[in-house]
Amino acid sequence: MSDAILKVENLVVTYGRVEAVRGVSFEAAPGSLVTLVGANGAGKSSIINAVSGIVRPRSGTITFEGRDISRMPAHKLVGEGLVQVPEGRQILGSLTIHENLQVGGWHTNDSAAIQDVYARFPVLAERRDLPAGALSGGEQQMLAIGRALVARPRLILLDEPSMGLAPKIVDEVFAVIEEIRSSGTTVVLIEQNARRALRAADHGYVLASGEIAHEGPAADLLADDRVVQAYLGV
Amino acid sequence: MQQLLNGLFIGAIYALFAIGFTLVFGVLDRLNLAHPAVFAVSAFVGIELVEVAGLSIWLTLPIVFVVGGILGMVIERVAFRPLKDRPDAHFAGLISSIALAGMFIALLQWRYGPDTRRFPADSFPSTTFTVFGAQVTVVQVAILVISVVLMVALTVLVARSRLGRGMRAVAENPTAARVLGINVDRVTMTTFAISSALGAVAGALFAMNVNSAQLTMGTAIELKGLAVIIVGGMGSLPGALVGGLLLGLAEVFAVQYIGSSWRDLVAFGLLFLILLVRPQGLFGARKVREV
Repeated sequence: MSDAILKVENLVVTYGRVEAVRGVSFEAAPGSLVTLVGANGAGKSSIINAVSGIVRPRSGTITFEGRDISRMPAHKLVGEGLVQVPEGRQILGSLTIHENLQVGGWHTNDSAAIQDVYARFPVLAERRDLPAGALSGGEQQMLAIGRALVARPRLILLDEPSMGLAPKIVDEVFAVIEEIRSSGTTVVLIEQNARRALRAADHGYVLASGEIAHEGPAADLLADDRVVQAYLGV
Repeated sequence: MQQLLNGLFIGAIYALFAIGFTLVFGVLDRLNLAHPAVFAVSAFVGIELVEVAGLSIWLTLPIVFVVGGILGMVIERVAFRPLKDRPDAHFAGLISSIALAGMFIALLQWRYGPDTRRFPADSFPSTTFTVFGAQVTVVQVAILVISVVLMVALTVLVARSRLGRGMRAVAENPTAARVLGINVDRVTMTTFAISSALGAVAGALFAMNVNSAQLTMGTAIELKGLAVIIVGGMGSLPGALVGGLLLGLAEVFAVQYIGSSWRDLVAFGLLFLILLVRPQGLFGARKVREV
């Protein structure tokens, strides 16, 4: 996978003296769905925040489409085609649904992209002028994903998209994620719901205490007794 | 009638000052106590432009607007941005903006001395109108028109434009705004610039209204501006407008019917009464602050 769209090498992220990520390397092939799974506090969010420019890595390099983006701020990366859907959805509740989507297109100003999102999520189109805070949790997750898609990303990073959602809604969210991947966008997915994420993914990385404990094709990880017993429950 | 109009003119200036104040206070959740210093600086700059450069008073207003915008950027850059990642950023910024305000006023004193400054004679057009039996000068009409136009323009900007959406996004959730691709630092600085530009025009108009500028004029309006923001409803632009006009009217009528020493007592007493009835302010949404 030397032609990886995203390549992370020896990434270290620290908060004060705490090392949250301790030399993690992983990569994503173009058009693939890669997942990082692991328990709470394993360093998953720190990795994704470093990739999307929200936190500065202590050391290591992050390469996106062949360019070193390790020190690039978040707002520039969105313009470069790398967008994060943050943990907890982070909907702008006082803005309308339409305004949320417009903010998602801050760099592109692409009204056709907003229409595409409405076509994919008709429930958002119906309520476009309502405050986004009026949406249910599942609808807010759709808005968060739709808002990221307005920027027409080539790489989308999803941080715990199923968190706090009912099982039926989780199914819908995963259906959308697979749709995004099949439209050619590379997906990096972070999940506590590891079994579910590995079933959807091509390639998986299992994190523990800020390091990669296992990696491989997702199907192999699901079949690996050590992984299942230690990280996926029985 | 005369008093009603006088109250509207002074109230429009209070409103313009307060609306700039509340843009940063209510929208960005930062209390910029250098705002009153911008108000004072721009009054002196306006007089200087007329006196030394010989400009017409109308031409000074766009210049003062730009000067205010630049001061706003300086305030954001010097007093707020270096402290923004501190856990006590709100208080730290408040204190450092007081310090910066002190420096602005000290510079004014060094340049102009402690005395009251006035526009040169003949600066103002002498035309007057009679409105419902009351005498109104061109300058007073201009004060009202300019203030209202600027406040409406700001309200439309915040509600409808891309920059306005960016401001509201940054106000609600700076981290989400960054993730979505907004350059939060730039939007913040632009907000400070617009806020201070409005405060500066308010200062120049105030100086024209009373034909004087004093070093302490910022301090005098500071508390009024804060009261107007709270009475109008935190961060509410229409609230600042209505609150400012109310305060202006209350002051003028208190002076007229009770006596000038009662002005502040009556005006602030009225504001207290409004808060007793509507604690969230006139236009404030009744909401609990989310942490």
